[in-house]
Amino acid sequence: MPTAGTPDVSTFQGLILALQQYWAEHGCVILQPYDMEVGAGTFHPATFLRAIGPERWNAAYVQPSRRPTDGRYGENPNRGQHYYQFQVVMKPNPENLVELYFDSLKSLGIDSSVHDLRLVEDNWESPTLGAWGLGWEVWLNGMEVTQFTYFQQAGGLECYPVTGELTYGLERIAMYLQNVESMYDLVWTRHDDTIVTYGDVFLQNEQEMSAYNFEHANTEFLFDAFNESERMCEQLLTAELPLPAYEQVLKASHTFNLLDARHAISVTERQRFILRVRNLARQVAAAYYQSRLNKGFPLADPDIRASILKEAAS
Amino acid sequence: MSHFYLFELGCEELPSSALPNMAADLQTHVESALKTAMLGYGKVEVIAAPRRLGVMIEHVAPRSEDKAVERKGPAVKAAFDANNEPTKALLGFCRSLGVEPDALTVEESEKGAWLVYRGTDPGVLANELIGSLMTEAVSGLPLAKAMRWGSQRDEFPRPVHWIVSMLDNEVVPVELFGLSAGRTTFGHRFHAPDAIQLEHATDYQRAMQNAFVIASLESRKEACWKSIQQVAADHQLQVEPDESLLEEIACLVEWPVALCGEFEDRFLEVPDIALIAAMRGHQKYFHTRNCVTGDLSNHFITVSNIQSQKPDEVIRGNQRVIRARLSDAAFFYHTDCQKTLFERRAALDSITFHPDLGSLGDKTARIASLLKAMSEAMNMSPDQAVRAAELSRCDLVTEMVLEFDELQGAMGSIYATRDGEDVEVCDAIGDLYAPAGLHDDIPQTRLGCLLALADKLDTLTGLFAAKQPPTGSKDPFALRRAAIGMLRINEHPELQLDLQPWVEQALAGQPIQSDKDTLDAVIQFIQDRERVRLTDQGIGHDAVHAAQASHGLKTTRVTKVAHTLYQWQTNNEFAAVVEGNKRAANLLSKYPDALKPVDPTRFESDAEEALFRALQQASASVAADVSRETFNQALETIVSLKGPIDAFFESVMVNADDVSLRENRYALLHEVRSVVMQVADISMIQY
Repeated sequence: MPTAGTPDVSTFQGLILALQQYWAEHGCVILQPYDMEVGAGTFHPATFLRAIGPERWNAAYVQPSRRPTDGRYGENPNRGQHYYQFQVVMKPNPENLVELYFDSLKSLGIDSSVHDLRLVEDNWESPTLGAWGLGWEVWLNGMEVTQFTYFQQAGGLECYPVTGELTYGLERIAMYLQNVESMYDLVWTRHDDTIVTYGDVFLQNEQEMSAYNFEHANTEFLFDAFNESERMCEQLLTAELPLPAYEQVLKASHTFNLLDARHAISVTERQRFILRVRNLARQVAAAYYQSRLNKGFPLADPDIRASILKEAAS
Repeated sequence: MSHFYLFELGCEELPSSALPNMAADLQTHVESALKTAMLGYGKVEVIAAPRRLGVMIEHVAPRSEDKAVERKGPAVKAAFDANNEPTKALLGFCRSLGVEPDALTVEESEKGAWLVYRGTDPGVLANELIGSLMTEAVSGLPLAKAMRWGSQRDEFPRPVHWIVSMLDNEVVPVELFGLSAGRTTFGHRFHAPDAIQLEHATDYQRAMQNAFVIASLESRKEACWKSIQQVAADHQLQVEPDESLLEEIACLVEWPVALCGEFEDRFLEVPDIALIAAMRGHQKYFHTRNCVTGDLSNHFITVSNIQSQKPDEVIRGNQRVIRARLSDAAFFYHTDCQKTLFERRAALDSITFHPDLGSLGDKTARIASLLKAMSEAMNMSPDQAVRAAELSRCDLVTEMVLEFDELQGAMGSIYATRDGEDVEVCDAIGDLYAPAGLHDDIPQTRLGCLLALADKLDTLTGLFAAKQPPTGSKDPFALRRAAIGMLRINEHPELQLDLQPWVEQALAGQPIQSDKDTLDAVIQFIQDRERVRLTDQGIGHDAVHAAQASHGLKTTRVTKVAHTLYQWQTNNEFAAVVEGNKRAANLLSKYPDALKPVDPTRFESDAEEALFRALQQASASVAADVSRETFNQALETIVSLKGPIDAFFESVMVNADDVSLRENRYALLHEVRSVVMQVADISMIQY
């Protein structure tokens, strides 16, 4: 039995608690999920915006993520339109980030002398965010459980220093630890004789949301909403409010994903929509950088701050 | 006494796609640096594994070879002052070389007397030289995708953590990526996590072996394949060699251990190509076949990176993953099977092919109409052709192809077969995108060839009509590949068409009106590709131009003629006929008036008479050879015209004062050109 203070990683919520505890011990700010629909933890301002500019930043958080096209009406044991990511960002990436990561798995009870753990080349790119990085997908016995990325660019801006990003796929890891074949069978928590499963919490949601995403979402409204987000974003940029402007990017991006799930966007139009979002993301990135520059990059290391401020002044 | 040198960059897991090239480049760079520095060496063996890149160099010479040096100093006049004492200029020169003035010799030249230093640069000790050579070799590596990490500015494909640089038992200093080289290395990430101190450079391989690392890529590939075959044999299964998959796997593991897993039989109802795509593409598994029947089996082979304490756990994990992948594939297959392929045709109308060129449905309709005309011209069934065209892109809206886009075409063919479509139609659908690459096969059937050809014609003419031809390196619609594909398809023995009318028809079928310039640009584009193709085979540009001038878009004919011209180019008599043709072409190009037919009654000399008769005979025989495509014989006939043509130019004044005489002689030259042009415009041949 887990003792008080040691999370029980044989439950889904215990897994989250264990990761939070591990990364808190390694200096991360433990944040909460961003309260908007996003496709991945990367969209959280704590990753995308904080990767911009020279300031130090270490954070970890859970992010519920929505990918409408991945919906399977709750019938696929591994895939859903809503799932959880556990996100860790460290800027600059510590030299031993890979080791820290593998140690985090050890803290979850994943024994590297038993399991085949591998770093498989995977170069990450987000066309909508104008961001890219190099890294790996981490395989646990052939299953991708984490995305590991060294950010090189965000919103079209060079990332310096480099942010190291870890994105754990929580359901997959939990299925491993709990040895179940379907994510809906995962034990979310147990107390005395009562067990609450992932299915109890999310199965009906998955069924209904799949139907909404694929069948009912009003595409006419969504096209209008996309246009409105774009307009609002540009207006907010003019007002030099990069944070609310960024929320409009998130709205536009999710609206685009819904339209995509409805097959409402053709292949060539698709590219144009992506470019529209990217264009907004770039402008927001530049505006955010400027806003931090105006404040003198208070969280940057003194020597890096001095050199960047000097560069900006000239 | 020679040395053994070891260099190793310790990295985070390097990208498997780049590792083989990085290894080859490092070897080239190191060897070229050693040669330039004249430092003798024996064998260079490359270290290339996920966490390491480096070299081991055997028999490194103790020092580099002596080099003779010659340095020109100041003029004698400037070297000594009035008192014959050395000037500052001379002393400076000597100091730069570290020699005394009396070590220099005087040399007389046209410009006066100069002081010259001749000496020998003694070789440098290997341990003083090799570090800088490695720095140079590593810094010069071409890196396809490099990255930065932490707060530093150096770039490499993944972060670098340690450097080993040792000549025998001694560390040779190297500074790279903010690190100093030492004798500390690391083995397998999990099997041997502790630092390893090397006593001697030659200990490396044994140390690696003990630390669960096969450092050489080739050895690791062999070990992988051996392990895979062993596991296959244990389970009485067959595996097919797959060099690129094997290399990729070998670049992902330092210690390969193959394991065999299985999935439920029920997934075998999903078409093989989809199962294989899921296993190979996503999971990097080798698929297996039943030893007896050769049928795809429900076993797969994966290569792990550890000697697991519980291999069953690794297998179980992999089985879980592939089950999820195959569940997806089965879901796609079943969803797709709920509709016939043809029922998906309408969905193509809502997918834009190109903003100016309409939807994929519009494109399909254009191809159907073009293919109908082609099939009629070739006495094939137009109904079959139209059906093939209408079905050809329907698989793009199937779930399976949306997931595995590399299955486009092949999946359509499978679904069409399932729907009970005509066999020839099904085969043709599978060929729509062929040939995919430069070395991939062209379609086997005539209908498949025509379908693939019609599609490429439509894409090519459409994008030109939309004024979006490829520019420089930008070719987003892969029009170059399309044009080369057309040329290759047309080589099919049952095609060999004149593409001209079909280019015209395809262009006319586009929703954008286009002019003669667009047509010319398309033809020019195809001919440029043809020229590149033929010149790559060693044929000169001139021979291809000459053949194209006569045969336009009869592309297989152009190929044959260009090859024949190439054979004849070294023949002296042929060269003389080429010369005569150049003269004739040159004269005719300056003749402004229309020409009447040759009038034999106006001949004044035997040479005119003889040339005319020779041309009359040659004309019919060349025409017959051209229609039989016996171009060698045609050229023999043309070369036999050398005598009459030469005699004509020697004894006849073409630009006679008398207008009618002059006209008649130009008409005769025009006749020469007409006969020759049936084969090629040989006036374009360059010498």
